[in-house]
Amino acid sequence: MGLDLDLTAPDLTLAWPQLIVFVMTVVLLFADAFVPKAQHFATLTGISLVGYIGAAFALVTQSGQNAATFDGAFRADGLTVFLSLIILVAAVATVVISASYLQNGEQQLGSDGRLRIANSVPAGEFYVLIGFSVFGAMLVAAAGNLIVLYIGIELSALATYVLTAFAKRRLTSVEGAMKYFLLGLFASAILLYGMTWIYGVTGSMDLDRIAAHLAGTDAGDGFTDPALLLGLLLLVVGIGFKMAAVPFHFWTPDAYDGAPTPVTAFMSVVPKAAAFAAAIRLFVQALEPLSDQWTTLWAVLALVTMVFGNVVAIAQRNVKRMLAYSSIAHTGYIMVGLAAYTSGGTIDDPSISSLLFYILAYTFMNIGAFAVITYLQQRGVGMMLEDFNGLASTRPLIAVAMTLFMASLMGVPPLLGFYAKYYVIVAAIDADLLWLAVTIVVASAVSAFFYLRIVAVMYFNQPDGRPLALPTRLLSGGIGVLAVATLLLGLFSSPIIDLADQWSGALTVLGRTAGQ
Amino acid sequence: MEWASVAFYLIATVCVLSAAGVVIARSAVHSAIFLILCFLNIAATFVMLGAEFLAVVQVIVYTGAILVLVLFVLMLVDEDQLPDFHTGQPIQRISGLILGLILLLEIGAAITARSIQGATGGATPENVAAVGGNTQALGRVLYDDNLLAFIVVSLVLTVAVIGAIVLALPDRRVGINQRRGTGTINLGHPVGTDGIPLALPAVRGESPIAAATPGDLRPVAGERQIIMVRDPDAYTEVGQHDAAPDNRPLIKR
Amino acid sequence: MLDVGLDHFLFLSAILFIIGMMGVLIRRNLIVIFMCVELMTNAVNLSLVAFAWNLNSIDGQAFALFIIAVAAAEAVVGLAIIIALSRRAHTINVDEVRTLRN
Repeated sequence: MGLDLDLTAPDLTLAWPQLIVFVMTVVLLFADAFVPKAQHFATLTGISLVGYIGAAFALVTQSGQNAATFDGAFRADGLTVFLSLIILVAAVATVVISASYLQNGEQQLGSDGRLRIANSVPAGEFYVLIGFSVFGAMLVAAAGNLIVLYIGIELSALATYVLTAFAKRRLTSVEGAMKYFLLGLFASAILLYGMTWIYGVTGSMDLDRIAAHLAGTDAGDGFTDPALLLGLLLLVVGIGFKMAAVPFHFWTPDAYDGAPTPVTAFMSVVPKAAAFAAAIRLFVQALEPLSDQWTTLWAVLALVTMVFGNVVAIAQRNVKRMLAYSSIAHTGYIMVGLAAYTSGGTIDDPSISSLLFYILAYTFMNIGAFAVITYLQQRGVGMMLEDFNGLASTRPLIAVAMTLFMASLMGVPPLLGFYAKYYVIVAAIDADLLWLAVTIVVASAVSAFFYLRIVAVMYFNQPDGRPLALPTRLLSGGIGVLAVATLLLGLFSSPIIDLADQWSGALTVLGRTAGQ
Repeated sequence: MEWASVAFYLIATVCVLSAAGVVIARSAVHSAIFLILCFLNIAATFVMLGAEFLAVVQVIVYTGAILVLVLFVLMLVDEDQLPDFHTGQPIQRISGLILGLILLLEIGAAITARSIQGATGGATPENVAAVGGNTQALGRVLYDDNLLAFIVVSLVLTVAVIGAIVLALPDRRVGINQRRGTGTINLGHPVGTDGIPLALPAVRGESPIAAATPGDLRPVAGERQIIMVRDPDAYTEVGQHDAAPDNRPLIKR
Repeated sequence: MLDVGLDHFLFLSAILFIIGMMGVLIRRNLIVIFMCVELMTNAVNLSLVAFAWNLNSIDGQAFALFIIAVAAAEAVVGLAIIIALSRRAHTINVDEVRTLRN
């Protein structure tokens, strides 16, 4: 790290998926300006879908790699691949479910019973910002040093702040964005202070070098150094804000409720995945020698988050707010994977792979649930519990899909959500965190109350004769695909978890070799 | 005591006092001015720490751009109409105070009792002088080790520009209002130039008045018409539409 | 050269950080809260530069430069949100402003 100028060209062949998303976003920017109005919407949707799916296929070029470029700032390893896959799945799902919203705008039911467009959203900017946010999140997953990690988080978050305020004619949207923005900035400042302390006591920005330096100083009195612990604490708080863990969750319900529904679906997955990516990179890769300390912190946070999220969700009658609290609860389940990490992680350590699998499962079922709300919102309602009245008799297939998503979020056996919880529980038991495993089961039982309430309302109440949504092919198809994935992907969980195992194993082994 | 130490304590005192001023000042404009003072002093500490380039950037970007923007917005926006951020219960203030004190103690402990020493880098004052100074040294690190971050920051700025355009651009009359041809006409016309289009040309995206050629406009004979222009914001919420029987501009004699 | 050392700068930075943090927790005005967050970010920059000085490493300064660039972008977005908010807020009565408040 001297001052000698060493201008070697970065090896861009390691970064194909990220490059594709980047180029796609730039193409979208220009297409937005130059494509004539008649084909505008179809072209932009097409470019986005092709870009994300192409990037997902390009992940093949990174799989099995364990290399770095850009002077170690960009890492192409198993973790990059798996997290990028999750993020790209979420991106494709978001584009599919937002199509009808972008075409029809946000509708509200006037007092005369007619539908009105209350907000129409510019499609070009919407897709561009989704593209940048996805790129930022993928960059976090591939970050090799603190600077890139921070800038990736900010890029992803900044685009999401703007997207939250996209329905700017509705006050709740702008207010939610304001709250999200200010608390996001506050969290960033805390995170940065933590990074500064880590840099100060290790003298390096590079994640592997930090691990090496810490492992080198281990010889003495262990890790009771107050500066290191302060840095650790600040990092946990900062990341906790970003992933909406409980004492730091206040922005979540307002931002989720206020944002346009497709954006809510997006921000319940992608920034959260980015936050967990940052957590894995920071804690498992860089601060691995301190794992005894941070696993305890995450375990406590996970417990509080699970309990609080599920209990408060019971009281919600607004479905979007309910899903916001439910997503907080799921953050808690995912954090158990982090808490179950055992020091010196081996290939057999199931913690990180269970975490990765849970985020993937959560992506399908949560975006699915928000897709159903988007579907209902076409008729100007869909936010409140009453809007689901008698959906089973008016739109039976949509009701079945919603039932699947709710059951999966709850963790009913053959569905995807069950397998996700199963692996997390196994990881917790493996790490002797029996109390966390029991909490997951109890919390899931509590969550049955509010998930099943929606199902009950759909099947047992009478429809109230509101105008029905016009089915949009893309949206209905998207809900169908997500429902099928929720139903069947669980059955293929074992190859996926093996893959995740292998990849996260590669990461921890790497962290250890760097430490020696 | 050396002069440098005296300078440090002076700068630090001004820094802390002006930072406290930011929090305590009743008017937001005063807060902003205190913040400028604080940032200038932080720039001075950067100079003491051998980061001359950053000191200049701090003055240009923070005080020159960001805070001027903040002041500009303060002038533009009526603060009283902005919603409050907290409900402002006293318990929140007290917990904030306690939390701050705890954190101060922790950081104090971390500063005084830290034992781990970071690995030192190669940018000793001699090496920095050898490449030509702080700016040159920073440039070398920026374009070499941090190339990726440097590229991505440009995307962050792009997102900011797009976001600002989307959010701060006044509402275009899209959707219903546009289709119904709501025109807005300034009340301050000179007498005689007011007119009503004979036929409303259905040009999307433009007000019919603007789209009309002079021939379409019938000159107003006799007394001047007052054209009531709806507040664009009246259209923001549903329910406002229901107040008037139709959505054409109200025209009164 | 100086008989003030790293610790002095770190203390200054810590005090600024905490003042900013308390401002965020105490104040109610959106724009003032935003300024307090900027103060926190600046305190972080000061720590970074001080550590970089102490460690003879330029990396900390590079990070501080990136933080300033990102802060500029954030300021633009934040103030745009505030403008959008003020446009909405002044047309709507007080009850509706409180919509998100529970």
